[in-house]
Amino acid sequence: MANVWPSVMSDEQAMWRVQMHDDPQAFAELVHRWEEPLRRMGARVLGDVHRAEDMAQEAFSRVFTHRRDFDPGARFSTWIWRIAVNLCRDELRRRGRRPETALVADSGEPGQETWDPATDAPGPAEMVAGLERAEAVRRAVLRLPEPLRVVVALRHYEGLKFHEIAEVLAIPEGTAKSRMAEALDRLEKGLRSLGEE
Amino acid sequence: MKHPESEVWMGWLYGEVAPEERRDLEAHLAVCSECQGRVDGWRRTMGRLDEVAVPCVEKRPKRAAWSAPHWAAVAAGLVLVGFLAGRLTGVSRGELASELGRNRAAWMEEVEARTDAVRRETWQDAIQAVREEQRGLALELLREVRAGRLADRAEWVRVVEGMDLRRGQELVALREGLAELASHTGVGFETAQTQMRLLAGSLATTSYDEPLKPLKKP
Repeated sequence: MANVWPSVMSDEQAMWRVQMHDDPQAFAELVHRWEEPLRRMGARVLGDVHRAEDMAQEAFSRVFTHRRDFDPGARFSTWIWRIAVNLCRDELRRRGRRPETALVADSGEPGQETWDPATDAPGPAEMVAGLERAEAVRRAVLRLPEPLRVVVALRHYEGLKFHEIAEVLAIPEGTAKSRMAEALDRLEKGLRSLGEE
Repeated sequence: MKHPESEVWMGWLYGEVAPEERRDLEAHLAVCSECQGRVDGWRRTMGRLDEVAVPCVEKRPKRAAWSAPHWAAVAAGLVLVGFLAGRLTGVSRGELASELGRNRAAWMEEVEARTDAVRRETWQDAIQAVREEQRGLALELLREVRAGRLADRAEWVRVVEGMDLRRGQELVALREGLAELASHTGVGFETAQTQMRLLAGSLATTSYDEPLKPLKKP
């Protein structure tokens, strides 16, 4: 799509074309830009990359279905993040329990590559230790209450500014920051044993 | 010493404070061991968060919802159990019949309630199917767009060229229109000038000292 649509076209301009002309290319461009961030955020909040993929698809389906509702004066990123976060909340509510915590490595992620002894890359033992450490951190993140976990996913991993998170979640900016601080405090306590290794 | 709130430190840790505020916070950090400890802890945790790969968990198969025949079978089973229990406990035939009658009504209500629930679920499934279909259409559209990317580009170029051509034609038409308008305006201007000259000439031959002549009656 990038070869057809200039990269300078903003999300809002693309969305405007979807809204006004049902433009499939503009929609495809938005999917191309946003499917990976949504999938990542969903995986971190839901703890399940398959459900995260379902969530991302559902989010795009909603974007298309509710395209007329998009406020042209608003930011597309805020809108789509809000849709995605709400879908994650619905999913967690449906499950009514904490997300799964077993680790099944994702393809293309660190640790999935084969080890080459000729390189300086970490060896199998280090890789296993690293994976175990990462798994412990991931479990700790998944144990966080959903409001804190969402803030961690959006600020730490997706790089949204606190004021943007505040807009997505419809909370004051100070609340977004205090949630982040609380999340880091809880994680620090939960991961204290890792530091003692 | 007044320590900055944790929210303020979050802004600083994620690089979201103004330069002046950043300088103040760093000056405070240099002299406050308590805040240093907190900030170090947060930094350590942030570093650990960076080690985490995107998680992935195998999906569990969904538990199939029971259908109406299932609930009917359960109800029939309960009737049978009730009947056998009655026989075994030595209850008289008449008592058993009336008990069964009462229970039957209750069970039938239960079955109907369960059937309604299943119907509702089916309706929700239908709605879900429509949504799925819509999503499928959107994704199909997306796939088609992706598959036909090159063809799209050619088509896009053709459309843009067509638009350029049309715009060129419109510009030519506009220019002609403007020329015509200018020409009409020029003619109108010349006419006005002529009329003004005539008027000026007639005024020059009129003496204002002479008394006005009465208008002739028609």
